Order: sequence, then structure tokens, then C-alpha cells
Amino acid sequence: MDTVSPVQSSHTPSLANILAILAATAMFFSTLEYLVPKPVPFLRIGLANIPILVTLRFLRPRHVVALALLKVAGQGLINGTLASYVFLFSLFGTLASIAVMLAAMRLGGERISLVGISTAGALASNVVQVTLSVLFIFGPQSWVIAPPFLLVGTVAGVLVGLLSERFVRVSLWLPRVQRDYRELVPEASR
Amino acid sequence: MSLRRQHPWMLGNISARLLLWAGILVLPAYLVQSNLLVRIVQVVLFAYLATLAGKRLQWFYFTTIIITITLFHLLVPSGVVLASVGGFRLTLGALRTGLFKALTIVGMVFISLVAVRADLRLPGRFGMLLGRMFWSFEQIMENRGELEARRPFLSGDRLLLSLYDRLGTMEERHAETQGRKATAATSSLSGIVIVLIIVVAQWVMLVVTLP
Repeated sequence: MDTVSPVQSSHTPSLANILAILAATAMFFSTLEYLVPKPVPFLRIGLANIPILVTLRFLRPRHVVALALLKVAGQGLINGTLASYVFLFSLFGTLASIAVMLAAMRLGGERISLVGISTAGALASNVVQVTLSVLFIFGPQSWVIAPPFLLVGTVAGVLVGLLSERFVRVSLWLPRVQRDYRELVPEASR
Repeated sequence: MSLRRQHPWMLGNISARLLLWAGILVLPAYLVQSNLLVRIVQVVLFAYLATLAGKRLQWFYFTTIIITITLFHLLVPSGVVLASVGGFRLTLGALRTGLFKALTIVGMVFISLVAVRADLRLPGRFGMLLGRMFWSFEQIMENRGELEARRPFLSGDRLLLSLYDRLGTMEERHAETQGRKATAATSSLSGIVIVLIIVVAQWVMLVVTLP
């Protein structure tokens, strides 16, 4: 583990603050995505997943889940969709994506890139969301929209993965978060 | 954030908690309602209330949702045939079912947009985490001018680094956003009365239209 000077230690944010700033970054990306014009309203790039992806390799699974829940609840509160089907779709899509991304990372280790992890997560999220919308909104006739929806979702997953890889390479902030997190959660260093 | 666009009277007289309770009380009456005409009235009412609540409604999004849901339901014919094009039969039953379902779903989103306000405080540790997240989000939004379009990664990283340093010094301080501080913690009598009228109206419409 890196040695940390007493001055730096006294300014180490708490675990709650680390999760809060990561979730706030996700919400900021979500706001950015809202500004990007979309040809079809159902299309989403998933930029808000970048903070989850870039921390996936060092956060403990329980903290990844906490971060994802914060992101989803924050979006629900800001957008006002907390009490609607949009929130449930987002929640189940995110949880499915997290489960698949964690599994992919565990199975692939360092051999799988963030692009691979992101694509797997995007695919899981889209499968869940398409299934929910077919079951509860559009009816069984709408399975025809599944292939193009999944294709676009996969492309978006690749894009988010590429952006995450780039951010990991240039960021000075992320190594700080990682070091502080490992100081706060010692078992994360193992 | 939507709080800045919210009608000032609503912000000052109706608390976020009362709005949430109103939403919870409205939902059963709304969901049990089966009259298409009443459903249209409800959707228009909640869309109007959502705009008063400072929410920017994406009309194209909601119109597309209504059209797509209705179209998919038209693929399964039921009831009186209204028109026929080639092998496709446009039926009244399918049209009513599709339109009703589409409006119900869109209306639920509008109810949620009215009932859930960004300054809503959720209890417990998760509520505390959300408070800190909103504080951080507000800081990012206030300093977003520092982001450079030509160097988004580097400038974004610098912004996060400076915010992160400030977070380290506010360990024990309660994170409270400026937007939250300016909103009503409790509701005024007039606020309660207006919310009550809207909630009761939904239940009256349900009782009146019961078969």
C-alpha cells in the first residue's frame, strides 16, 4: 500500500464522501447525456456508467452496488421519475449490468478490458429493459424491436468502455480515490 | 436542477414530503380508473402540474411513447373494425386498449415528476449519502465552466480533483445544497388545501365513474 503523509491522511475524504462524489460524477454525466440530441427517445448511451466502470477494479462489490443505487436514486430524484416505471427499468437494468460486469471482471481478471466489461454490462442492462418493456408496456408483439435495440446498446457499451479506458489513462484524480479507498477499506488491497 | 425552475409559490408553500405523500395517495385512484376520458383529463392535469413543478417535459419523447404503445396494441385486433388497409384491420377495442395503456404509463411518469422533488430527504444512512451526493453534484454544476470542450478529460479530472480536496475538509459538516435550503420544510395551510383538492378530485372521479 502507498504511504500517506499525516497531512494527506487528515484530508482523506470518508468512504461516504468518496461514494458521494463518484455518484455525483455519474449524475453529471447523465446531465451531459441529456443534452445530446437523440434520433429516437429510447436510445441511451449510458455515460453515467463511466464512474462505475473506472472504479470497478478496486471498489468492493458492496460499494459498487451502493454506488449504482445512489446513481439510480439520484437520477430518479433529479428527474422526478423515482415513482414511475422509468425508475424501475433503470434500477433493474443497472443491477443486471452490475452483476454481469462484476462477474466478467472476476472471470476475466486483467485479461478483459473495460470495453469488454462495459459491453457485457450494456448487453445485460438492455436485455432486462427490453424484456420488462415487452412484458409490461408494449406487449409481446414488440419483440421485433429487440434486435436493433440490443445492437445500438452494444455499440453504446463499446463507446462507454473506450471513454472509460481513456479517462483511466489520463486521470490524476482516480489514483487518489483508489489510494484513499484502500486506506479506508483495507481488505480492498488484497 | 429543476428546483430553480419550480413555481416559487409551490416551493415556498408545499414541502417535498407533502408532495410525495400526495403522489402516493393519488396513485391508487389513478391506477384503478378505467374511463378513457377521465384518463385523458388526468394526464393533461398532471402534465400541467409537472410543468408548474419545474420539470421540462420532453413532448417528443412522450408523444413517441404514446404512439408506439398504441401501434403495437393495434397489431392484435379486437372489437369493431374501424378501417381496413390491406390485411391490417384497425379496431376500436385495440385502439382504446393501446391508447389507455399508453396514457396510463405516461401519466404515471407525470405524477412522479410532480410528487418527487429534488429536495426530498430520504431517511437513514442512504438518505445521508444522497444528501452528500447532491452537494457534490451542485459543486460540479456550479464549476462546470472550468470544463474545456477541447480537453474534456483533463479539465474534468482537474475539476474532480479540486472538489475531492474540498470534500476531505468537510468530513463532519452536514452536506446541504443551496437549492434545498431555499425550499419549504413544512407546508402552509393554503399549500395543504390545494394538494388535498387535487388528491380528493382523483378519488371523486374514480367513484363517479365506477360502473
